[in-house]
Amino acid sequence: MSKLRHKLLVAGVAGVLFVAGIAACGDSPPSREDVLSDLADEVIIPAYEDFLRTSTGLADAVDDFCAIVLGTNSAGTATGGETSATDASATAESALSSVYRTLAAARASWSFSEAMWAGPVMERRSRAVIDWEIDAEQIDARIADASFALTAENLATRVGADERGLGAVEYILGSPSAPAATLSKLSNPRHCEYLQAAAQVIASEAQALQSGWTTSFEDGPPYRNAFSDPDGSGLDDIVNGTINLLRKTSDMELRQALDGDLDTLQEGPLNKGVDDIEHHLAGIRAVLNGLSELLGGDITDRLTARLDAADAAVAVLDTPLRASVSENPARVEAAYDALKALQVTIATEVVSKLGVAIGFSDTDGDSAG
Amino acid sequence: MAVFRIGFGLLVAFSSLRFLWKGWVGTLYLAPENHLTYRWFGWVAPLPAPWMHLMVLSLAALGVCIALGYRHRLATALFIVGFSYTELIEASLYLNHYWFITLAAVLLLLLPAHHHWSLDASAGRVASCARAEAWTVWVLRAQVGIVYAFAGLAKLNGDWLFHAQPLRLWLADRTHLPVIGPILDEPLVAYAASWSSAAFDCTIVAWLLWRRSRPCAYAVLVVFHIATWLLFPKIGVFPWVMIFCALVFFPPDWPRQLAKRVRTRLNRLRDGNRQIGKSAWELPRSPSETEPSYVSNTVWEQNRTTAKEAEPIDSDATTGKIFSEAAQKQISSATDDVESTTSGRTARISRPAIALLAIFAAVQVFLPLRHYLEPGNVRWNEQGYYLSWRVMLTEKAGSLEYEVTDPATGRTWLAYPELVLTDWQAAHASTRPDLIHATALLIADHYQQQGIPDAEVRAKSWVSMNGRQAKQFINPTVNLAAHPRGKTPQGWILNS
Repeated sequence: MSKLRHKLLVAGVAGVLFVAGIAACGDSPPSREDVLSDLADEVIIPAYEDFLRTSTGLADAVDDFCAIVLGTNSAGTATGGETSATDASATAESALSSVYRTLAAARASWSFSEAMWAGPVMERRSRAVIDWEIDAEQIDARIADASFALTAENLATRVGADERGLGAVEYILGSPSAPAATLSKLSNPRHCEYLQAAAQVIASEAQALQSGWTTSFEDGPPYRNAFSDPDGSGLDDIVNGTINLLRKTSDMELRQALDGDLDTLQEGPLNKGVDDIEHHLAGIRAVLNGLSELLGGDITDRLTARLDAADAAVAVLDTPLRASVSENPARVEAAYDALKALQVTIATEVVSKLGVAIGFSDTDGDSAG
Repeated sequence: MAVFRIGFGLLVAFSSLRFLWKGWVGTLYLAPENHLTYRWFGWVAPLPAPWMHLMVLSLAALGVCIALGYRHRLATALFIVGFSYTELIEASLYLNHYWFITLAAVLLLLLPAHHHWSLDASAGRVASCARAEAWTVWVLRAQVGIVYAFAGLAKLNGDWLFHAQPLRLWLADRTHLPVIGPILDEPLVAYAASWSSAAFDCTIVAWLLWRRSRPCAYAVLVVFHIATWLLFPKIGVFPWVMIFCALVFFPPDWPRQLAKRVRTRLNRLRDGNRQIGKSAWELPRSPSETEPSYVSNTVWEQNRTTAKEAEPIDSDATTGKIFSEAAQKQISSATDDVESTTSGRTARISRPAIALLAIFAAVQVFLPLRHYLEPGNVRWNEQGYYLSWRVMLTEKAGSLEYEVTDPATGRTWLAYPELVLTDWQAAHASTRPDLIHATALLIADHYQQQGIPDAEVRAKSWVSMNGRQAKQFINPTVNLAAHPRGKTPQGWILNS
């Protein structure tokens, strides 16, 4: 018995030394927690901070523009001077350009962050506040209804998702190629009020998203902490988010457009179709780069090749995207194929490597993954 | 065998209650609009709420009945029917340990497991006897052994042994665990885990059978299963099932011996009688205590001594036929009068039951090996995956979409599995050919109801196995909707 105990003791000590030896030698790759923390700090939070900055910039630009355009109207009426009216119009056009510029920046930032679909943006259903498909008729009716106060609070709480967000701002502003028409339309104070309220709602939501990641989320610690928890669902959410984003872009938009349903391309007056895809791909690249230490060299190389191919295929598309579909469907088809190839690589190899659950129940399994 | 019956009943009762408590009846059985059924069992459908809940609750109740030995045969038969029914509802939920539970229940039905420590025996519905023919215990051992042996055999493949996959993927996912976490993504650890687990599965039965190695082997088994449970919590109750079932490798009277030793020790503590040189654990053992006397006709006798008499007594091995717990009871009746009425008869099994068991054994050997009749890699094509103890063997992730064509108009469009399945069903379906086919048929049905008869459904399916680059899985030119459920033709599965 004592011999057996001695042998067991020796075996136990050897085992401990073996484990300790492995732990001590070599450079261990960073832990999952480290990688997720870095991804949050270096990619996701900066993305939401950028969206906060650009959306606040949009709200400020809209405020400045409305102050000018509404002031211009009253000043022009009061003085009736031709020269001053021309100067004021130029000032208004300049302010309008600034609004378009900040709007494009806000949209680009939002599209980039769509690849980071985890935490506050999901729980708050921020897409319904920031970027929902709009109902133009409903917006016009709301503007025409003088009894409805066009405040940010009312737009946030009393109207549907299809009456607010970036789409509503774009609709009210109209095409940047026709500034005169926009200026004329916005001379109606209720249009400007709607514009201001919509921009403020977006900026407020951006603030909530940024705070949710960095300060406090649902009366608890910031979501960054939960995201970095290897036992949490942050990684599952974000990987699933990239897959769903690619599905949405390729199948719901490009494929259906190629099949003849051009209405699926919600490009808006800014013709943002191609830009949106490029920004989505940039966001996906940033996320996958952030995970590269977990993914390893082979998969990262294949993902980079897929991303490069998708970027190249999208870069040759014409703007607006609907024109590309009509005039050069082969290029759109190639872009579709490139996006699908990227989606398949993420849905199979990345999911497998990271042990991500795709909408999986937690019932007992024969597989540990 | 009585202990096996009691433990089994309690485990399945616990498992059923856990299923209810976690809300899985709702999410797994009732929520899906469609179910992925097994071939030939497309007619099986869940009961509506609350009947489905009651069904699972009744499985728990039947488990308690089995444990108590109350109307054992009826309860076990009903349990088999009810449990099989619930398992047949949804093929994507297939688990090897559910199959094991079904088989163990069948054995409990056929074997005389309710003649001792049971309400049936107490009430006189069956003859009370503590003896059973030895080979009935060996049947249970064989059943447990089959699980380990075939699980071990399945691990003898290149991925497992030479690439440490999929453990390398899975362990790297656990680096956050305390103490051992930091080393889990070291390739050397994955290789060590792969080889040691293969060695464990392949040899544990032999170690458990050998008397001298049995205690250590069982300790290793417990450590192994607890380690897998800690590392991979999603494997659920399987480790506990195996930890319990492996007890069948101990002499059948181990519970009695254990109780007696505990009782002895307690008595000594109570009496303050500490001057005895040897503890009850170290008392000289009779041959029957250390190991039953196996004889050629597969029956042994175990006589037991009382705690007070700690001297070996003669084994009744001359009979050469039975292990006699009853004899032990007669001897120990002074200290254990509860068992004083136990008879000395042997619980025997009928010839038809023996014939059934022979068929049962043959089928069990055939099922895990049937994939050798098919060309290709079973871990990829899953032809012969079900009922074959291929536990935690591959990591697969798939991307699955369907191209649907209306032959009347020639129009083609994409459909996702989520059109007819829940997310979790779709995730399972994406890597299993039979479920990809079943989903295609559900999609065809869906469009038929939308006024598109004869819709053609082709799978666009990619799968990554054990971390490899994704490959196309199902032939995208095959109209899956044109074929009824059946064995998946070889030509459908690519890169096998």
